[in-house]
Order: sequence, then C-alpha cells, then structure tokens
Amino acid sequence: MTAAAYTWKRPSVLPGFGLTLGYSLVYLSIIVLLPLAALLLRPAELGLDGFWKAVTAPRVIASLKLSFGASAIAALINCAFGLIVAWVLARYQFPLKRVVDALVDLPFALPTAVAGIALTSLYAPNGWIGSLLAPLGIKVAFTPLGIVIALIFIGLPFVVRTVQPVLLDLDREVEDAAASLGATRWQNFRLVILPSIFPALLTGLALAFARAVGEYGSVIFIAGNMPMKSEIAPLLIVTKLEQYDYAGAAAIAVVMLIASFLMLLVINLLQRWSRRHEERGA
Amino acid sequence: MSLEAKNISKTFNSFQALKDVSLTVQRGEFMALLGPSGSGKTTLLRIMAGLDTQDSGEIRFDEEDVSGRSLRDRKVGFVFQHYALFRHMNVSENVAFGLKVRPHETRPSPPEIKRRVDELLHLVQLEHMGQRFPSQLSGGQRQRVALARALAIEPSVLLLDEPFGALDAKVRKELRRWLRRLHDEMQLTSVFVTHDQEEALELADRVAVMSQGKIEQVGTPDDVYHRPETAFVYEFMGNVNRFDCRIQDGHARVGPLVVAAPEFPSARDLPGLAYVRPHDITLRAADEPGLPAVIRHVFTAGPGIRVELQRRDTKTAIEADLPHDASRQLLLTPGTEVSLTFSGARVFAAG
Repeated sequence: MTAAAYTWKRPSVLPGFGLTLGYSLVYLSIIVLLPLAALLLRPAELGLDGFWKAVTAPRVIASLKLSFGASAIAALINCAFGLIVAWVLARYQFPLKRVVDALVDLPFALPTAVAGIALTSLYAPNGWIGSLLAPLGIKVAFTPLGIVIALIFIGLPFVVRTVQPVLLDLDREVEDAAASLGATRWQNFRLVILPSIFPALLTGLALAFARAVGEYGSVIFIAGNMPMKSEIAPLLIVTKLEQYDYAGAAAIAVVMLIASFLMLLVINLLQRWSRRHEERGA
Repeated sequence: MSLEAKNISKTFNSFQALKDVSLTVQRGEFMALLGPSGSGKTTLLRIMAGLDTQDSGEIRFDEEDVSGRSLRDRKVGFVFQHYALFRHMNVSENVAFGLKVRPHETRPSPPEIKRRVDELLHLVQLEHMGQRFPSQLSGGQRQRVALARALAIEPSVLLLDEPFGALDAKVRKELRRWLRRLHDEMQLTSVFVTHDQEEALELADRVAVMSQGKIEQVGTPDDVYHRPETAFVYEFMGNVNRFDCRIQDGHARVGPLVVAAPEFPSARDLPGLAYVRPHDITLRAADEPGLPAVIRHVFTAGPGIRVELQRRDTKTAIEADLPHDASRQLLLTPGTEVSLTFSGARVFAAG
C-alpha cells in the first residue's frame, strides 16, 4: 500500500462518504462492538483473580484445547481435500458435474443439528461406517475423532468456494509457458499454480477454521460430550449458562474471542505476505 | 535447426482449423505466419510447439519426427501474446525458471544461474529490473522478460504468437527491430504469428500467408507483396480496388479499359476479377480515354493524396493514391469528372 492510502479522506466523485461511513460505524457498533463490550464487561465481576481461576480450570483448558485443536486439524484437512474438490470442479468436465457442484454447498444449507444426527448415526458403533471401523478398534462417534469429522463436514464448502473461482481464473497460458520451459506437471503445480491460489487457500482455511471454532450444533451430537475428553468449549459455555454461571461462561467466551482473533490475525498477515507481489503493483 | 510441418490437419469439434498444411522453415530463417483471425496460423504455431496435437501429419525438427514429443521435451522457446509471466515471481525468478526446473544432473549451479540471468537481462536491456514484479513493468518490458525467459533454455527454435499484438504502435515498432537484431545475433530459427502485414513484411525473411486453414503463398516479403499468387493474398497484402471483368485471349476488359491477363492466354469470355492497387491508378482529364469516374472525397493528409472516386457506370467506389504534385496538373475537388487508367493490374478468375 502506498502512503496515500493512509490519508483520512480523498477527493472522490462518489458522494456520501460522510453519511455511509457514519452509518457503517453506527451499525457495526450496535451489531458487533456493543455485544463484544458486554462480553468483556461480564467477567469483570469475577475480578482478575476469579477470571484467571475460571479460565484455567482443567475442564476449561481441556475444552479449549479440544476446540481449537480439532478446528485446526479439520481446517487443514479441508484445505487439502477441498483443494482437490475445487480442482476437479474447475478443471474437468464430467457427467452430473452440476449436481456435484451443488452438493458442495449442502453443509452450508443443512441445519447443523441435522448434520450432527446424520453423522452420529453413520459413525456410531452400530452405524454403517462405525460398525465397519469398530472391529479395527477405531471409535469415531463420541470421541475427538468424531468432532474432527463433524468439523470437516461443515468446513468443506468454505475452502472449495474460495479456491474454485481463483482456479477458474488462472491463465492456462501461464501453465503452458511453464511446461514449454521444461517444468514437469508437479513442478508446474508446486511452482506456478499453488503460489497463485495460495492466498485464496489461506482465506478458505481461515473461514473453515473460524466456522469450526464456533460450531456447536453438529458437534454436540457426535462428540459424546464427556468432560475432559470430548467436551468442546462452546458446549461448556452453554453448560455454565444453564448453571446460571454467566460470568464464568463469559470468561471462557473472552478467551475464545481473543484466541480466535489472534489466529485470524496471523492468517491475515500470512495472506498479505503471500499477496505482496500484487500490492506492489502499479 | 530446420523446422518442417508436413501435411498437418487439425479439427476442433466441427471446425477444420488446418487442412493438410505443409511448411518448411530453414535453419536461421525468420518466418512469419500471416493471416486474418481464424486462418489457422496460431493453431499451426501451437502444433509446432507441442501445445496442441495435430490430427494427422508430422512435425520434424532437423528431419527428426517430434510429433510424439511433449511440449516439455521439444525445447522450443515460446512467447505468448499476453506474456504469460509468473506474476508471483520477480523478473529474475521468471527468467531463471527454465533453468531451475531442470533435473538435478543438468541444472546449473546457483551462481551459474545468476550469471545467465544477468546476461539475459542485459540482452533484453532490463539489467536493473531484476527485482521488480511483472505488475510493475510496462507491456513492452513484460514482453522482453517473456523473451528472456524463453531464451534462457537455449531453445533451438523460437516461436512467437502475436508477440507485439498487445502493445501500442510505437513500442511495437521499436521492439520489432530489436527482435530482428536479436534473431540475427543469436542465430535463431524463429516463427512468428501476426495479422499485421506491415509487421510481417518488415520483420520476416519469408512470409507464409494463410487463409481458412490453408497456406495461400509462401515467399519473400517482396514476392508476396508484388507477385501475389492468389486473389486472397492480393487483397490481404494492402489496399486494393476490385473490378469485375471478362477475360478473353489473354486480356481482361474493365469497362472501356483493357488490361493484360497473360495467365489466361486462351480464355473465352471468362468472368474474372481485376485487382488494382490505389497507387497504380492514374487520374486524367475527363475528355481523355479511360474509365469515367467522379471524385467524391480528397484527403491530402499523409505522404500522398488519397482520392475516393465513384465509377460512372456501376457506381462502385474506387480508391486512388496520388503523389503530392498531382493536384498541380488536375483540379482535385469533389464532383470533378475524371477518367482513370491503370498502370498495373492483376487478373484472377472469378469464384
């Protein structure tokens, strides 16, 4: 970005800068900032000491680890396989392609509880897939593995839908050029295609991760929700609320908020770094 | 190395892009493929490079059939119309790409790669641009980077697809001369595609004029401009006036004018077309013998005078280019009646 971008207001042919900016700020304040402020104020009742105690309780720590850990794993898996799905949809023609394309959006549209029930019945020890895995000693439902699977399910569209348009937009001539210079297909992918779609892939990762951290509905069905083992942080928050421990719930929420914010910030910086060649453009 | 296309045919869906095309490019030659869009020139170039596969026919490099070889193994330098640079790499990295992707055994050492890149950047006059990204360069600079990148793999053949198509007129002209010099200095064998006849005539050793998937004529710029073999080439190589005529015993009649048609010594009342370049038309006073016409417009700007006329009999439009001093002998104003004669014409059978 150039220095000029930092000036407060630039002359523009578009009228209404003041009005629209004012509206945006008020809107964001009411919809986003105000609830967040309330969230931050609530745990203040506990005092610093109480807050620290609330969030370092072993059960809370375990649930936070599980929430962020499972979300990160699911987002990474989605990155790899979402990329493949996006690649197939963008590059190849095959029968029923439109149907497959529409299927990708299903996790968006499905009520998460429905997804949770469906996944649980599939992966439960007496379910279709679960009964096949059980003899191998693999338990999916009611374990952290089940949580990861649910999070993969709900996160997939984010990666596919961010990467697919970028893949479609890629200039095929650039790949031809790389091949004419002697690059193998793998080199072409690694050195030419991947760097071009990397920013979009990171966006998909961030979205899938953010969605996974906040996911509640589908996970509670498949997780089994055993404290210290398969209890996710959002569920713990709900549990605390049900026990009228509003301050304790808010304390966990604040920790989640800060952690999510930091991770998204890191991803954003990564993205900016990977786009550096575009920003320097004239 | 010499390059030969032998009986190449190619069909896209139901559209036949190339119909049994054969062309030989000699070692060290600079060949232009010239034609309107849809004539198959780019398809032929892409097949030579291995970017497309022919339905039938052979591509030979130095007598060796390379039809089965992939783009990667043909080692041709290919320059794309829209540069096709790697946007996420800076100029040096772009140029080094072809060297860096080589297998371990043949890959030059990093200092050697750097030396070669510097050399190539010097060659394309972009020494100080190595750290820039393609988005920070002008069109002409980008095309030179693309050229340096293609030359880095020391190709035996350089193929260029409308290399100046996306550039503005002035840059195009500069780059054209520079490319010709480069071709001579590096003793390359080059083929380039263009739809601009001026560019083809100025740059190439030989020009292959293409139309509708076929090569109409191959020859030196002088040949194709002054001795076109087909009506298409005549029309494509510059402004031309077309007259319906009847051919009889080696002569063709255009109204009251008779022009020579030595290609048809024994024709009997054959319908034909006579082609006359604007600079081959002479204007005379209306009372002198010739084809009667009326002046419609006169444009005096440019190196000569351009006159738009209308034939008296058929009312068709005619264009004539006159030297600047022509206005001294004749009153050139719209509405003036004149009589035309041709100092050169070429007759083809109609249809």
